[in-house]
Amino acid sequence: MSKFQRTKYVIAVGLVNFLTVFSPAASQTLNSYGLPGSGDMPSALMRPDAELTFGIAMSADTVRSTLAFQITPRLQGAFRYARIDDFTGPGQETYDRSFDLRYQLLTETEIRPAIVIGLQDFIGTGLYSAEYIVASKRFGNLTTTVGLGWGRLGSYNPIASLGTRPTTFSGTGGQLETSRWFRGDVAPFASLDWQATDRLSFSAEYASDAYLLEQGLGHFTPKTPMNFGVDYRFSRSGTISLYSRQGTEFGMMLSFVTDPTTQPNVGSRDGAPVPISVRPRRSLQDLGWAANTQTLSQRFADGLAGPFTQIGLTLQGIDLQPSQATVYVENKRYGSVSQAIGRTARLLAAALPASIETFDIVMTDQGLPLSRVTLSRSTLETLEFSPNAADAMLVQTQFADAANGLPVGAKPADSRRFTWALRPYLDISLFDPTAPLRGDVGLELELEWNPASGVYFSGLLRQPVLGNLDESTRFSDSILPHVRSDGNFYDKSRGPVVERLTAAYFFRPGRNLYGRVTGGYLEREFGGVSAELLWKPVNSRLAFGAELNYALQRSWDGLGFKPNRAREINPVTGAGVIDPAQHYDVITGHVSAYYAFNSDFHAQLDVGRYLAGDWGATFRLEREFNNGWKVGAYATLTDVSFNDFGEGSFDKGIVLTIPLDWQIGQPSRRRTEVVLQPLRRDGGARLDVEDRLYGLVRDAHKPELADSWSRFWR
Amino acid sequence: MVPVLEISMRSFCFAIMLGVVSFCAACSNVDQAELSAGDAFMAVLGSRVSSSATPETKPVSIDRAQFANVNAPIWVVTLEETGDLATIVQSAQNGPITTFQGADSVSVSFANGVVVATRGFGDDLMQSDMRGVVRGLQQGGGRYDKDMSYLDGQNQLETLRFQCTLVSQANEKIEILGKSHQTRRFVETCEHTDRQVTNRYWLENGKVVRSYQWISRNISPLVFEIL
Repeated sequence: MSKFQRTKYVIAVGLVNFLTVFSPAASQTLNSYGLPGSGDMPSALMRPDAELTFGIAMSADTVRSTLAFQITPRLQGAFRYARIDDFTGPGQETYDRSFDLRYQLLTETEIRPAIVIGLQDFIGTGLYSAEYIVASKRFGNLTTTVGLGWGRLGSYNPIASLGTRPTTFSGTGGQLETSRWFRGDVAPFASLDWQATDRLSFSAEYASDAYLLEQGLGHFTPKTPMNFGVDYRFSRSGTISLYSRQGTEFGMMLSFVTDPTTQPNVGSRDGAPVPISVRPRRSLQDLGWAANTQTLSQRFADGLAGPFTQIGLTLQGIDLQPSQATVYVENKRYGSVSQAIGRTARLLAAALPASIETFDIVMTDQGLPLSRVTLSRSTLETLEFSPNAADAMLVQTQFADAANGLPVGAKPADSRRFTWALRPYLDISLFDPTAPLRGDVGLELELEWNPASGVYFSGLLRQPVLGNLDESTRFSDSILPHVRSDGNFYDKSRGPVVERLTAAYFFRPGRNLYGRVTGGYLEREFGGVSAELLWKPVNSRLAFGAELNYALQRSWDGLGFKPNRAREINPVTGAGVIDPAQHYDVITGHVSAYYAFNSDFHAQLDVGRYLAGDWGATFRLEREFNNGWKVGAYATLTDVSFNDFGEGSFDKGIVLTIPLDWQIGQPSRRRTEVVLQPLRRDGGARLDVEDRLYGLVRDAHKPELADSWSRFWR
Repeated sequence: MVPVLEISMRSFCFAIMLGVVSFCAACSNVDQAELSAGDAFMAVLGSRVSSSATPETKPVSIDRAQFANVNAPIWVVTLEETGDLATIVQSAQNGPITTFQGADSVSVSFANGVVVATRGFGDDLMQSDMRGVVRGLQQGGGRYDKDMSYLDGQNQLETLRFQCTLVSQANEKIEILGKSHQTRRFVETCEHTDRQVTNRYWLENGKVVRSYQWISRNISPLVFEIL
């Protein structure tokens, strides 16, 4: 089939997707808080499991953008970033961050409604803070919702009161305000949602929000407690809504939906693999070639280098024995390592002498042999077209540690020893109160020299071309050493910038152990030395690691190291003394535990010392999908008090990993990691070192390989 | 009316520049380089909206003479939806199953003319159980189950089980590229929940010479004709 033909089928598929009728579950609307509901009130409906939604609601004085994730079928979380005008004075807006959690206590059945309990803006300054219990029941195309709200949702016509509700946030904000939950006035709310066609729906609601904040700021004066809205789903994943609020204000909302578990375009367009070559019976015993295995191994290594490169893999070494072959392969193309293993197996089956029955495929990365996958050639031949080929193959495959290292003399193919790439880059800064979205575009040059196995010299240079990252005038008021909060000063230079320049060595100290040492300019803000050790058996879901770093803070531009300003100079008045001889340096380190649960979740705990010299721990929980998608959140608590940390109280964030091959349906290992960090301050800050071991190693270990083993035969 | 979002001139220019710069392809000395931001952006865009890739010239018609020197069996494949043609040549044999490969990195594997797997089409038929079909064609008809498996968005295999009836319908004289064949036409009707699929097989002396087969939900049905 020519490329043209395939392009046309993709177009056909795309059009069909665009016009496909939506399932009822997915046609629910979002409210202005970015969660299931209508207008400003929540409902008891949940989104389909693992769905990500993003909504922007705009009215004359407010913009609310919300990212929500259906963590489990009954638990949904959201992060909201809102702009409220005229907050500290006319023409002075404020930007507010809030987090929501909602849990479905009961699912909807024939006779009973769904019931959800929700916490709105439960960490933070509490401008939107509310709690609610709500029930929803669908009757055909009509959804009826009734609920009780506290906080903001209990402010209009309360029917009762439960205790007293503190009106201010504690300390520096950003903390769990449990003393507020379900306290204070409680008021009822209700809404009706009518799905008129599969794209159009209408809603009406009685809102229990008195909009006291908005009234106080002079945004509008409510005339009626009724809100009305109309939603139109214009594409498979986008909806536009128009709503009227309190009979006096109008607003518009755009919302988008992404489902990490389904692909935007079905299937992937990897080219067809080599078919399994079945050996003629007689030749199985033919050992005549095995007289000098070493010479022959070298000849095969040379001869197969080309075919391996053609399928996107690098052959690093091959060792032939009369009935067994060991192959060392580096995969930089396939997002799924199982697919790289399968394609390697096919190539070996086509090329190797017939007497070789067992293939040991060792996947490597950064010069580290990661795992030894053993399979039998006869099994390949038998199972190629078996109705349950994938499962049957997994059962007959062994996974073991590969600590023996690459064969003596193994080195990367000459063409890969020195690599360079010149490409555009995009750098985005979010959540700066003076400008919530800033960015730079420019050119970056990446260089890498791999002179010997495991030894890498690499550098990344950037030249900003256009952007406004340098416009930030924010000054950090942190009383801790400014290890991260002066970050915006690093964006001021418009000339070429050395982002990274390092020498690294990756090695295998022993069985189940992996090691790394990196030195140089480790990241934009720090240089120094970083050493890491990881223990991870190939078949294990658990791993332990330890990292020790010496970090030296870099100057804002150039290759120097910054004198220690933070302790000597008053950041606000500029008064004080700089001692140019004294640099800010710190020894940091962590011990880490990693666990990949049987369900989709992955947890990581790091305990140790952070860049500002503080001691503490970070817990990170992610939901991982077999296609490479990850959605998660982390929080760090250290011995820095909430007061000393400053605004936000402790470091927290949301992390999203989006694989490129999922988006475009072609093989790629590129993944985009998005970290939404509401506040970047100095407590709980870690060094940003490239190529930490766990990420390198886990993709080629049994738990991950088994999860996507269906791609072995692709 | 107060503007809802203030966009400074610089931010606007930045947004334009973002679009323009993203289109730049990366330069690199590595053959299989990772896609640049620009390539990636274009690829994502192309995969969502229609792509304006220039079409390769496709053969409008196929001439037997073109393949006079090829010794291996060849199928001519036609996409029902568009009428586009291609040829695939036998490249491997594994027991009763023969794999044919085409010029553009596609392959189709057959058991006695029945498709058991494809690769390179996108939503490929990864594995299947076609024993019922093959036996039915030998025995003049039958009722059986048929499994067809595909990869879903999470790299898991999803298997559709079809309930099928194969009926020997009529004798038919057909012509493939100037050569005529006396065939027996079979019709296979398969059902899976709310989907009904109809395949056709034309057999000459017990061998399939032409067939019309549904492969997957996202590939147009294919017509195979032996050369």
